[in-house]
Amino acid sequence: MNYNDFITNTCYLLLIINTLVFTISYNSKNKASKYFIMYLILCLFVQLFSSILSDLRQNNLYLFHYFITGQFIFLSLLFSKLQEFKKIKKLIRSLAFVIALSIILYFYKTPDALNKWNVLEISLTSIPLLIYSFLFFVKKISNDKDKKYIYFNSGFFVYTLCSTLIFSVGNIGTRTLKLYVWDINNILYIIFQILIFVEWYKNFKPSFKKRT
Amino acid sequence: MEILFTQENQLIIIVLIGVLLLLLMGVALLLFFFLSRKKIVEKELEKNTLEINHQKEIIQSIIITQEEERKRIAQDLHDDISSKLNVINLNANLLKDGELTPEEYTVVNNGILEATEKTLESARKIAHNLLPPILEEFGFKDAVEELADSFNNSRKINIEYTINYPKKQLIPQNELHLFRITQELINNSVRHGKANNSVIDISFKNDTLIFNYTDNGVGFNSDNVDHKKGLGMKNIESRVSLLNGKYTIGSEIGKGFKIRIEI
Repeated sequence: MNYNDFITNTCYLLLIINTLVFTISYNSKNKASKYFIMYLILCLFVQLFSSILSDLRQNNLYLFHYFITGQFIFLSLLFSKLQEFKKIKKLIRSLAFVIALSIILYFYKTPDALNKWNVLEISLTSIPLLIYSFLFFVKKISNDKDKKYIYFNSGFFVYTLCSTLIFSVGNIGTRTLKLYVWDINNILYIIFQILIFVEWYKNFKPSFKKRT
Repeated sequence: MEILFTQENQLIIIVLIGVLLLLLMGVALLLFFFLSRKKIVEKELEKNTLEINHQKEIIQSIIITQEEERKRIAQDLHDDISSKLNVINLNANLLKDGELTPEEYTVVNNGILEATEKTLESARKIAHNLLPPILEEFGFKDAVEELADSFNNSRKINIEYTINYPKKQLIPQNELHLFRITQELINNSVRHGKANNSVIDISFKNDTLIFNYTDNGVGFNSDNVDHKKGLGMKNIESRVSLLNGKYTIGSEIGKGFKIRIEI
């Protein structure tokens, strides 16, 4: 197993573990975590399918569009469910709806665009999420009691900040050099996944000590 | 074509640097977030501890006041009631033993009657001091007027009052608090302030009750914390906080005492 494979496999392993632990400890009382689990499942599917497609030497770039739009929808829903965003819940939801609809319509009209990186799509879906993530920090700064999603949000903020830039240069440059950039993306993604696991461990782990 | 490639590669390198910078920025932001959060939380904790301590002090002063009240009641009962009942008991025993001349009989009998009357009067006074019946029957305004008049009659202090209090503005319990505050203030003026004049001014404006009390006593340095920690002032403070009100004190040595309570 060479270095690249090791990184990629670690990514998968962490993602699978995270999806499993979050799904197992799912509690119907916590509606926001429903969207978070959907997001994790989406990530897992996109990752697995794209690796299968790349093993078969087929184009897997169109999956990225599913991923980034799905991420935008699920995370918008997740943020809109959080207590901190109660006041702008409707705004988040309508923005998510409008942007997602226009992206779907665009790709429906021009299917060729699915095989290319689209800077506008990346920025339209990432920037609102980054803004929500930042607002989340601002709202959490004086709240010590509810620590939910704080680790996930930290990881998400840093990872998305960097990966947005990485994704937006997807169409240019030579392959060899781009792989270096890609490695950075992978390492950041691993850190992100570790933080999601920490999130589960700190905030979502079912407590067995409880007795009724 | 070659130039284009190098240009594109340069672009990638720029992006690489950009990514690193963004990473740095993101991490710096996270660090800033967690550190300032820690600080803010610590400050809040400190504030809460202060508040809890303050409340503890208030509770303590309430308990001490309660104990003092009990002591006072015990003393009153002992001094005024028990001693007189003793007299009655002695006299009644004399009657029981008989062998008294008709003159002596009348004297003893009168003694008993006098003592019972005094005991009744004392019992009434004690009960009245504990809870003035007028407060429950006629409300806060009449109670304060009666309180001020009783002090005026005793010539210890001359109290002027203007009371503009809409009936039943406060619930009975809060009326009692405000009445106790008034009592405490007058007592303070007489006992500590050696004042011979004081003014009570109660007005009602824009849904707020404004209670002003001024005396011409010796006053104290209001910046001095010791006075604020006196039991009387603590008592007033805790009652004002129970009324959800605000109060300001103004006093200087030799210039009397002033308090303004807004509810």
